Amino acid sequence: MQTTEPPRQSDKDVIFEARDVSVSFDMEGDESRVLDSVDFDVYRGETLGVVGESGSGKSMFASALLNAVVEPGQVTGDVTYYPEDRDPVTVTDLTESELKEEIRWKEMAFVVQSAQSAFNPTMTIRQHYIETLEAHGVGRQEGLERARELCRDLYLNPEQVLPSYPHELSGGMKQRALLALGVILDPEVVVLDEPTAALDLLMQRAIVSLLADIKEKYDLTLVFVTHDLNLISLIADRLAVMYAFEFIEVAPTERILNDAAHPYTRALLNAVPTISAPISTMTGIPGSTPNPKDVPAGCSYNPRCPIAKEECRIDDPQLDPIHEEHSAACFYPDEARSEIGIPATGGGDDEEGGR
Amino acid sequence: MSADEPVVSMDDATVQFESEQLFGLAKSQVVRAVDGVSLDIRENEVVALVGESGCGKTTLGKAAIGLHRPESGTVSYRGTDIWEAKDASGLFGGSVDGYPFHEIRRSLQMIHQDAESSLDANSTIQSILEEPLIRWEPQLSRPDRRDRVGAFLDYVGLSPPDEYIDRFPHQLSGGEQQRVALIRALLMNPDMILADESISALDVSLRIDMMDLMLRLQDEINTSYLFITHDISNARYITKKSDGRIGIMYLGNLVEIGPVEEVITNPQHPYTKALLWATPDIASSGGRIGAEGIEAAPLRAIDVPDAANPPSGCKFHDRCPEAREVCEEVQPDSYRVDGDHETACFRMLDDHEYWSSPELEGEMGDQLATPD
Repeated sequence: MQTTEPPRQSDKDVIFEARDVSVSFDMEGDESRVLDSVDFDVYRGETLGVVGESGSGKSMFASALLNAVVEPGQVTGDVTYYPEDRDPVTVTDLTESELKEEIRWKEMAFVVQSAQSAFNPTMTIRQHYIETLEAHGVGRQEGLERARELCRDLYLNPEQVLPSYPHELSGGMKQRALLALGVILDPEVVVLDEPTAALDLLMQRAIVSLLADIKEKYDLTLVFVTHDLNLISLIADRLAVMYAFEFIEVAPTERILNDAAHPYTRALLNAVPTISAPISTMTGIPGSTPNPKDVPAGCSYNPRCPIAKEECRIDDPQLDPIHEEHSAACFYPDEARSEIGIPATGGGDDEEGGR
Repeated sequence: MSADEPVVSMDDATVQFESEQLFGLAKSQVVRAVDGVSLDIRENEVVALVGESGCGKTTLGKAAIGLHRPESGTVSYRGTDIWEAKDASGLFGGSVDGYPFHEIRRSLQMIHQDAESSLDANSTIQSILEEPLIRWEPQLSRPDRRDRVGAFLDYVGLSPPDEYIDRFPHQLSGGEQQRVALIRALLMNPDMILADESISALDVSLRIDMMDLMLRLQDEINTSYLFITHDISNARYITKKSDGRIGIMYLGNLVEIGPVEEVITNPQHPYTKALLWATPDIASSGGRIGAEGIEAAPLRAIDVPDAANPPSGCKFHDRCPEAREVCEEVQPDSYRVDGDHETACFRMLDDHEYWSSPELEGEMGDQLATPD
């Protein structure tokens, strides 16, 4: 499987390799592609932030990595998982029961947005932990000791949380309890899909810090999917920006924030209100995101792009390297950078704003 | 405060709810969602209320437009007590001195977070939007109404209007629905609009445009906005652009309020500081946090206390890094920082006993200590 094109980047220790991965839904005879032929490598030990607006395909990418796309979604292409000391596993070839036995929780955990629905309301948190431990043949004593430690790592009092039913905990406590469940079997990778979206500001920020802490402590690879660029920039080593069911730019976080090369990424940086940037630099993105049945020909962003040219309406730019560790799917990255100002480059100079 | 009378004035207003326990078998629990708040909203002013869920900001907003009756304290519209006006209209259809209730109702409008559910799913955009016109401008003919609705749709960017006017709400995107809800509120020619998390559900790329639209329309029809959000960055944008104020709420109290730039760059209340810490900023930090992790949080506990059983004294004391013993016992009043900037923290007073009161013990994570 390593012989498929394009080849792996040799100098990086890859833990996930996605090749030509698509997810489609069959809507009354019409095929909707909600993830469109994605090639992507996740590096071992990194915190990867996958950023996009709703309907950009970011959650589908997360689900596809774990072969957890819900019916009737269909996954095509290959996702290969490279364990540290065993042979690679093609995740997309495994059956549901093989996945459950060999991969899920033990190797890779999935933490979703709605902790509410992830827990069974008739079981205590302790019972959830025990169920997961026993299903994977981990001793109850040893496993629960680890659960207690994880709870404390996440600022939960285990004596209070373990005997509780889900409804007895606040949203933030439930989300942390779910995070502890995700890490209880000592996985290599944790994929988090909007894990903080339903939570309050202070809790979001606290959980992001806690994630950074437990990532270090337990030596994890994190894939964090979110719409919140401000938040993910705090902990991501790399950011991958999705638009219209594809990755359109990938780079180390600092480069995305300071030197983004794709016009959409730059527009997004300007569209996110912050507490310090001059408000005169903030501006929305005209137009709307394409729906899967109606993706524009050529570059999917061309109808909204201020620097689009004829070529962009005809050819679809590939996600190509424009710099070391920095790729962008745009024919005119230099022009994007000179034409579209962003907050980091002092896109605006007017502190006063005013109408 | 200033010569002109506020549009809405809340004076020491308290709103509480009773929640039944065990289907009414046990004692009911009283939650004081808004606890003694005073707030004036002036003509054409934008006030953004920021706080976390459960802090009472929505209840406060609804009380400000006469949808929740305060248990104590008053809420007035241009000097007329809203609930006295209501009671008077209920008894004899008569009126008190001042504005009649039905006019107050019309003058204070609301747009919701979930625009779709606030629009009648079985009506077209035309009939949703002409309803207020039929009521408030009965002299308009049918074609006139259609023209008026069409002009508004065009103005908010739903153009050509003929493409939208006969559609149903579910045939519009979230951003389009939100704009229809805004038009509907504006057609009432209101003096104040409560916008409750009305941009939170929109995609990032649409939020600025929606706030710009609200402000552009404000210029046209002269309305104030009470803008409720959990997001201090959005609050900053809309208030800075309109020279407005930001109020910070915590467990039913307005803990800090002032001109936007004052609150953001010179915050005084420890809770405001915590909220700002929790608001990451790609524009200033340029990215990643260091290894400081959670220890750097300006908080002594990360979980919010139960609103039904709030801490004594200052309600923030159990999480506040600056708390001293007096904060457990006495609830601070609101003290002036400077000009329009006020905060409910003893630290504003140089000669307060706070400064000689012993510091409260405890740091983040102390509650986790377990007998191992």
